[in-house]
Order: sequence, then C-alpha cells, then structure tokens
Amino acid sequence: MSRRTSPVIPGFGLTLGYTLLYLSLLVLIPLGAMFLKTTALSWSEFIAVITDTRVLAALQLSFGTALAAALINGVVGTLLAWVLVRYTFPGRKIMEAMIDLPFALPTAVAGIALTALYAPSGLIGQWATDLGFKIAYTPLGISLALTFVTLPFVVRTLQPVLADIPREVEEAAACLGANPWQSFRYVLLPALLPAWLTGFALAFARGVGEYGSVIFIAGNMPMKTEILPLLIMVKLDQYDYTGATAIGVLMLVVSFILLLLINLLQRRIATP
Amino acid sequence: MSIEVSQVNKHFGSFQALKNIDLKIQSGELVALLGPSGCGKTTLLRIIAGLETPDTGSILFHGEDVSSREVRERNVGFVFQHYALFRHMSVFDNVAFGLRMKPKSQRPSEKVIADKVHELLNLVQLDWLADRYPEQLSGGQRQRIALARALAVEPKVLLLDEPFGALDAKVRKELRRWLARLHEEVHLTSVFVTHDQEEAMEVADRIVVMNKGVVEQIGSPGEVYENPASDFVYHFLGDSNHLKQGDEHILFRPHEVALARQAENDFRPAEVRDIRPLGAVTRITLKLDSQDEFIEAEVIKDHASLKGLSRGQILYFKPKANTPA
Repeated sequence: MSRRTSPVIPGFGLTLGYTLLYLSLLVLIPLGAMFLKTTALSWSEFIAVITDTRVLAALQLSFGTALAAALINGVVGTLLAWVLVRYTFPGRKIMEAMIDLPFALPTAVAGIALTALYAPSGLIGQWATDLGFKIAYTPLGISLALTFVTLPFVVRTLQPVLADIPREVEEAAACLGANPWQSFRYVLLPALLPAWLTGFALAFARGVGEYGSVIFIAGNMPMKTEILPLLIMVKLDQYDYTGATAIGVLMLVVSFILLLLINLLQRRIATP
Repeated sequence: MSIEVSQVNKHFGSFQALKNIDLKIQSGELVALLGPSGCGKTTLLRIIAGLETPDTGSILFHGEDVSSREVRERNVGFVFQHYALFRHMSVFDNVAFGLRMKPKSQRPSEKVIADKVHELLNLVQLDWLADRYPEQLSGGQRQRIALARALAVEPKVLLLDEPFGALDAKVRKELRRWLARLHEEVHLTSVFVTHDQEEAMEVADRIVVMNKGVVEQIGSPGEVYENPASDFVYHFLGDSNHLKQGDEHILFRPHEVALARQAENDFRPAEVRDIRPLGAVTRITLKLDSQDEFIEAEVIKDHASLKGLSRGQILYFKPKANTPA
C-alpha cells in the first residue's frame, strides 16, 4: 500500500498498535494465561485428561450439537433473511426486531423457557411424547437451545449481501432460460456463499461455547447429555483447576482449527 | 420475428403506467421507445419480455400469442441498463450461462459452447477479455459482454433497456453507432428504450414516442422530427423556441433561425446574452424586449453574423420555418 494515499483513519502505526493492545488485553493474555496454567500438567497427564471417555463424549456432543444448530440456522436463517429482504408485508419491522432477541435475552431465561415447552410434560414436549420421542434432556434439546441462541448470526450476515444483489441479476438469468432452481443454484448461491459461511462459522463457534441455555434443557447426564463447558464447571467445582484449563485448551484448539478451515474455504470461494 | 402489442394496460397501484398500447414491430426492425422518465417505456419493454404481466391485452410474437408464457420460455434477449452481469463468473462463463442452462437433451457440448462463446466475444470485439471478471471491465465493455450473453441463446427478439444510460457521453456515442452496425449484421428484431432523442434518431429505424403511458407518435426519425404529431413530440425531439407574435405563438428550432447584424425586412432586434461555441455550430442566446423567454439560435461557427460578436450587442433574427403552436 502506498503511503501517499491518505486513508480515512490516519496513522497505520497508531491504529495497528491500538488493535494489538486491544487484542492482547481482551484475547491473547487471558488465553495465554490459560495455556500457561495447563503447563502445570505434564504432557502425559494432559493427554490423560483430554482422552478421558467422559471428556471425549462431551466433546463429541458439544461439537455435534453446535454443528447441527449451525446447519439448521444455515437453512432457516437463509430463508428468514430472504423473506425479510425480498418481501414487504405487515409486521415485517416487528419480525426484523425479533431476530435479535435471542442475543438480548439472558441465555438462562431462554433455556428455562425452552425446557418448560419441550419437556415431556410441556406444551410441545407432550406431542413428542405421544409420538414416542423426547426433546428436552436429549441432544435434540441441546441442538434446539443452540439453534435459538445462534439464530441471528446467519440472518444478519446474509441480509446486507442479499439486499446488495440486484433483482435484475435474477431476471437476467430467467431471460437466459434458467429455471428458478438454476437461478438459485448458479447465480444466487455463489454470491451468498462467502457471507453464509461467515454466519455459519459464527453460529457454530457461539454454539460450541454456549453454556447458560443448554444446562437447563440438557439434563446433564454424564456420557449422554453433558456438554464440554459444563464439564469445565464440574472440574472447577472439584477444585481441579488445571483439569478445567486442559479442557479449555482442547476446546480452543479444536475450535481454532475448524474456524481456520472455514476461513480458508471462504477465501477460496471469494477469490474466483 | 415480428412483435405485436395489442390493447395493453398496466397499473401500479392507482397509477396507470400504460393506457391501451397498440404497437406493431416488423421482423428485423430496430425500434426505439422514446420518452421522458415515467412515461411507461420501460414497463412496456418489460411486458414484451415477460418480466412484467399486463393487466389486460396481449403480446404476439410472429402472430403467436405469448402472453401466458414465462420469461424463460419467450426466448428474448434482454440487456439491462446496469448490465446485470454475474459478478462471480468470468466473462466467458457469463456468455456461456444461457447455453449451459439448457435442458440436458438440448445442451450443446462444452466444445460447441466454447466455440460459440468465442464467436460472440469476437462479434463484440472483446475476445481478449474472456478470462476477466465483470468488475475488471469498463462500463462500455460490460454492456457489450451483456449483449454477447443475451445473443448466446439465439433469441428471436432483442430488448434493450436504456442500454447506454449508465455510460459517459463519449462511450455512449461510440456504442450506439456500434449497435446500429451490429444490427445491420445480425438483423434481429430489436427494441430499445431511451430517453435520449439523439440516441433514438441516430440508431432506430422507427421511433415510438411515448408520454404518460400513451403512444404519442410512431414513425421514422425523419417523420417524427419533421412532422411531429403533437406539441409534446415537437418539444421532446429537440430544443425549441417559443416566440410571441401578437396574440399568436410560434414554435421553431434553434437551427431554423436566420441571423443578421443589420436590420432587415421581417427581422427582429434582440440583445445577445450568451455565445457558446459547440463545435460545428455556435449557439447564441437572445433576449427580446417583448417576452421573458429567451430565444436560442444555432448557426454554423463561421457564420458572417458572428464575426466579432460579443455579449450585450444587438443582433437581428428571423425564424426561417415555423409551426404554429
């Protein structure tokens, strides 16, 4: 970049320095401290903690349910964004405002409300019972809570991108003989995919770390419906601080690798 | 392929965009829909394409009613004002799009598609840009690619919505001459929408002048210019002067003015307010005592009356031809 062009925010050195300081105080130092704390364990002790069957079961559950929630929101969130951008209808503004509610609501409140509804005796849960399956206290319930909590991510990342795609582009595709599915598949989807992946990654990352709403609906049975963040809390209750940080490190590393992969994928799509 | 529009009406809410439109376009013709913004010309074009449905009336292609057919079944080439190229596709893929979307049974092989795309890119003289992406192209290049893309599916009619509207003046001029030449080569029935009368005069075989949802006049550029059917057409097709003569008004064009430095028979004196050299002609703005409205005169730049002329001087003028208003 040329020094001659004067950007809106002056001083590359100043802004970079500020960014680094900010990142250090908020992200790097706390996470670094966590890694440091873990080094109190020897390598074999660390391996022993993270390969414990209860930890592995929780790991699979946490990442599995977060993935499921992110995928559900990937589809439903896309639909919601589409409806909000492309149509005007009475109540659209209210619907628009409702999208962000899962962020504003204390997650514990969401968890309790969802549990009350989806428990076997709950308003919706009893139908499930009649059909012979359970929602609350199963991985299905956890995915449901995570879907609720991460709803805004895909919607909010897609909305501006969708609004930016002129309708003429779809009309052009139709004039060229494309049917609606082809227009979506070959014209809209490629344009939306980078933003969609961002929303998906955000929802997924948030879902992996979610605690408040899940513990109410999960039932928290070890090996079955116990999520990793809860396991960390369990370790803390037992004054096993290094054990807790070891699980923290495990989550962090797995999340980092997954997010990195999504980012790389995104870059490949965005630069054709 | 001829196009026939019959008794088309279209409302948007309580606003009537088109009123009883009847229009026949001959096979191979290049027709301009000309009018001010909001006159319904784009709506009419979109109805012909099938992008908009009329409230009443029908559209016939070569005598066959296509009113109930969807856009993609009408086989029209449509060129948008803002190009509407697919941003994530290369120029090649943009042009190939229509061929690749064909049902499997009709889809040509990739080899045939590639040949066709290069043939079209050569036609629009941009084959060297095949691997670029739309955002790497200039506006004029994008519009030519959009045209190549529209021609790829071998449409029966070509519809262009203000195709040069987003381009700067010089490119616009080049491109419309190029379009006229291209039309002579491919001879496809073409309709284009414009609000620029110069553009319509220069490119079209026939001009359809529209105003407030109705057709004011249909005719060759010469006809609509020389024999305007209404005041609106007269005003819209070129600059006009309005001169009070007693109780009557007369209308005449800036080039239909004789100028003299000395008082002559029938000539009227006026004060020179502005002198604008516009290339081959020079435009003089004149102020009469008898009316507030200025009179504009355009004469060739080396006209005798201009020699040493400056603002504030008195010049004598006479309308050469006129149309009673």
